[in-house]
Amino acid sequence: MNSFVGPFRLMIKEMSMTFYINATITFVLFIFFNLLGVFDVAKSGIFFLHGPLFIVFLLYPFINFKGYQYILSFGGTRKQFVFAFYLSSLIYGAISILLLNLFYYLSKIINANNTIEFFHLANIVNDSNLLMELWIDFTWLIFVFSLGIIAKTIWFNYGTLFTLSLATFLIIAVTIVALFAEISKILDVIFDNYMLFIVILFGLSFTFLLISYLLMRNAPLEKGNRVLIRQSTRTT
Amino acid sequence: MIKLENVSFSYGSNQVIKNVNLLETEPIIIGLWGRNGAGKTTLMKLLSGLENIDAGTISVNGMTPYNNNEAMNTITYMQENHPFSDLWNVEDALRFGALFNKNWDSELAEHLVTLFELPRKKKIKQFSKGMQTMIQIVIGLASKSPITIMDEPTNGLDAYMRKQFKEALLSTLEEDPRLIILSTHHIEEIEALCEKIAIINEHTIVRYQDTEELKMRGVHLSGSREAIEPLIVSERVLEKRTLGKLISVMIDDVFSNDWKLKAKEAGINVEKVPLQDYLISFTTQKEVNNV
Repeated sequence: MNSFVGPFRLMIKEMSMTFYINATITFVLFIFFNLLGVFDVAKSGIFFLHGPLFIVFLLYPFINFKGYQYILSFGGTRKQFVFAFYLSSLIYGAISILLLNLFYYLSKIINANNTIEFFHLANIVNDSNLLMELWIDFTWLIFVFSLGIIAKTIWFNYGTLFTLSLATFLIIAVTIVALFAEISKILDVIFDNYMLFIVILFGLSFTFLLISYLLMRNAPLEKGNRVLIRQSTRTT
Repeated sequence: MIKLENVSFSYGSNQVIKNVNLLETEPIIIGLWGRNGAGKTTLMKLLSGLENIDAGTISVNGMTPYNNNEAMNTITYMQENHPFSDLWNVEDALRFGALFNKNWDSELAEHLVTLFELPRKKKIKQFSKGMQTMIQIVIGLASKSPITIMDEPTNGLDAYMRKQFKEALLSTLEEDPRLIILSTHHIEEIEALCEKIAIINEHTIVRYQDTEELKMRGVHLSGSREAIEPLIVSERVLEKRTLGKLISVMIDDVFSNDWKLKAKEAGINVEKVPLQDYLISFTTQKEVNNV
């Protein structure tokens, strides 16, 4: 048997419970928002259905990092953990996006008079089609996941103090940029070239995932045990 | 099967393994004994590829285990508090055991689950300490890995279950000989199983010896000071207690007929020290302890 099957199935199992809960929350919200439309409670408005899914994908690396210990203790490797986690997340991400867009589609049928509308991340693009909508949703979802994984990876490797110091530095840097740079111009570029922005977002996600992989392939066993900058990579 | 040469390992500036040398080529049961903090767990982590060495060489079936999928497939390491997911029941643990171990013996796993009367549907996190130990034993033995390491394998087991474990271990080894390393700090629980014992003290292996030879070591003498002191002049004294004109000493020598004869002639008592007491005295730094 391929030695990757064990780690992969383990991560699928670990992530399943959170996914089911999350999908149920999204479904309940979908019903609730549509009832508001059907009974004409909400005269008009834009509702956010993707919130729970995106929040959970941001938190997945924190919730499911326990899989690292399980995989290593069953004889798997660090690389297997990372690849299994990424692959499982991509699969659950794709299913989530399909589910979300199915709810969007059903809402259009249920609420033919359009008293309620769901905000879609592809709304910014004027003439989007289904594939483009799926792609934009998927990219945002993976971006959110990659943010979570890079934060968790740094935290796990270097510990709380280093991570908080880094976060403080980033907040200061972003604040300086927001104060002194022309944010409106940056926003204009984003909205005028939204698809280009989506590609950049995908590139950023890939970069975060790659950095996380490089940190995790020789990660310590316990949180914060990595010697700063270099964990021994000696092989004999 | 396993070969360690001058292996060292540190957590930051804290050296936890120092110049360890160990060679074993036969599929036997080894007992790994050491006091708390001696470095047993770290040594097992290095052997199973969970941690990487800082210096020296480590070879498991000819491969370096750290992050090596092929090598890690030949080792099963069941930790004392083995991490199990909150979501898993016994059947999940067995399924993953089968997925991770290419030599997995489903029949043996089922037999052991029945033997230990483990509830299949109950979450492992809700198990008692003894039941968690049992599921670790099931996975460790059913993995049939060429090298199986078990940390405190009798922890939490009652006398009956300990007996079952020992019988199951010996039975499966008879069918499929493999190298088993059992770590403990209560040697009496496993000494009957082990062909050899490795003693780890102050972060290094200080002895690796046949159990029978080791069990013969440790002589306890008690009686008058005048009678005993001439006998122990050239001996390594592990422990010495004084009470007025009487003293009792433990010396690091083989308990032999020669000592019985000497004791009889000197009019003092002599007896064999239990292995656990001998190991404790052997690994304590104070060789002479006056009370």
